[in-house]
Amino acid sequence: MTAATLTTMSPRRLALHRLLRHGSFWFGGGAILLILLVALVGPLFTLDPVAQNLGARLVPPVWDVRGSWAHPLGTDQLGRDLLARLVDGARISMFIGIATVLVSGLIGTAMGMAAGYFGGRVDLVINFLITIRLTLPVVLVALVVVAVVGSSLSVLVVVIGLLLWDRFAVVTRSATQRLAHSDFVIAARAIGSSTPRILLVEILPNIVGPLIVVATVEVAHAVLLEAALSFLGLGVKPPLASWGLMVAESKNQLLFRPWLIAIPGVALVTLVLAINLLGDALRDVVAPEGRA
Amino acid sequence: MSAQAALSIVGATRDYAVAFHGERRTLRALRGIDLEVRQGEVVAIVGESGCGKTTLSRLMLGIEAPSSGSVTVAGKPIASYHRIVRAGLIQPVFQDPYSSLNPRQTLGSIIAAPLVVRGEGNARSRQAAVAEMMQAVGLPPHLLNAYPSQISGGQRQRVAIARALIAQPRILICDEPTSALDVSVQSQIINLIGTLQKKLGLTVLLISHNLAVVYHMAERVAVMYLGTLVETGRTEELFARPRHPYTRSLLDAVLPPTPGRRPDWSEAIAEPPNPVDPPPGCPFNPRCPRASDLCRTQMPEPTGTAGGMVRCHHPFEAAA
Repeated sequence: MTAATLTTMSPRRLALHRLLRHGSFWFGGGAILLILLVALVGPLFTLDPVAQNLGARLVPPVWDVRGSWAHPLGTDQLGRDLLARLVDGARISMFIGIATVLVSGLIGTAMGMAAGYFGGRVDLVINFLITIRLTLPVVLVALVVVAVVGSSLSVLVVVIGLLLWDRFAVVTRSATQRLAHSDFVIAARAIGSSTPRILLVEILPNIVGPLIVVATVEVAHAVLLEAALSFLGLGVKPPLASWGLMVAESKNQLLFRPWLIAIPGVALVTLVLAINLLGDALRDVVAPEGRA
Repeated sequence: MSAQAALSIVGATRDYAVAFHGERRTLRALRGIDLEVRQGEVVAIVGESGCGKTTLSRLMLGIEAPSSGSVTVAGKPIASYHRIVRAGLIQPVFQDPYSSLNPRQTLGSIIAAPLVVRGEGNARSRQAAVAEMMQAVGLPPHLLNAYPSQISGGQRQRVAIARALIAQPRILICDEPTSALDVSVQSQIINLIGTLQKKLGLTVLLISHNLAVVYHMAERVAVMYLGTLVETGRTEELFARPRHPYTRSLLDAVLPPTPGRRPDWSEAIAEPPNPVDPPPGCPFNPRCPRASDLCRTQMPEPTGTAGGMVRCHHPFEAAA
């Protein structure tokens, strides 16, 4: 018998193949990679982001006639180097975005899989929890909790993580429900598989696609939420640099030195846009039926 | 019940709660099934869609419990076995090989799964067992790391059979194993199941509505209608001289009649009754040309025939 070649690619190779031909993937992924790289190694090359120099306050960026290469993006009202703070802020945004989605993804996926697989009362209770979560105004609850507990990076991660699991749960629940009665899951039960094995080995790999899409959306969501909380003074505490905090600290300068707000604002928009573009590309590849 | 029965089902019923015209009702998918299968026997269960064949197969697999009655495998109730022991007794082959294989797993890991779950052997011995099993079901070895989407329907069904047999079960439940396949592939799969059945001494329950397949493979046939067995018997006997009007209409509907010859009684037409709202008396009475007032009020009891039973008030005569 001749070794017949397989006419089609494996699902994983096929998905990768489609992804590599997607424009949004290259733009979004590239921008995220760049920001991630800046966040990781940037601090080695920039000035101290918290060092104040009251002699060099509000220096404009280098493209202004009064600017200089000593401070490429200028300084803020306390004379801190804006580029250094921007790079430092990228670390905070990236950390919050990824860490919160790990928390919320774990909670939401576990709840969604339990609801979808066991059905019945488990489903009822989890649906109730999802509904309750959806009725809570996220920003308000986060504000109250942070105001009561106090603010730190870990508190922010936990609070935002505990608030953003709903979409994971909803998507996981319906995807699991669809698979729970499929023949291959029944076959897995017939060969004696334990319930954890069925959930982790049979079902989870089949719902990873939509979960990655949700995760990208939620990273963007968390980044914006952190910026909003920091802007309101209940997120990252000064002198740490966060893009939301940088906007807040400079809001008095809006009319006279707009770059102080524009620079962190553009950074925030670029990051969120890049994440959403990447999410779009992933959705087109792994869950094309969900295309709006 | 005799001791050598591989599988015995006694008075099994299965109810589902359903919404029917907005109210809660009970759907009785199985209405008292009695069936005994000897070790090494091939028994076919035939009947139209929705008659409860698939529910019965799930009961036999122990995936669902009967609402009343019992399903006994090798002398003990199926529910009393640990899931891993049960896996070594009874295995399914499903109708649709496109949904019975996990699209994210390679064929090698699908076939090895029963051994992994059982914790049998090490990676190397499992690999050897998988290679041997792939050869036994006629899968080329280079497909080991392929995914289900990369192979044909017939090959997928071979994978499903390999996965079932590597668990070394005594009983194989084949739920319409060929109906999703191309006609040209159906006979290959049927012959494969037949060969392996003889070689391994398997007990096979063949659930099918393909009467040609049933005639080819089964020693005994059980005809199912709306959750009850209406007739059982040896295959040649039942095909040659069906006693129950439903069996007869099934055979008439499929076997091409001699040109010019009309059935000597009008065919059962009409839709099958809704199992949520079954007719009183014999469930077949609205479609039966022989139905009498007795049939419309009283459910017939099974009466023994040579090698089987028939559940009918007015069965066709057994030939002298």
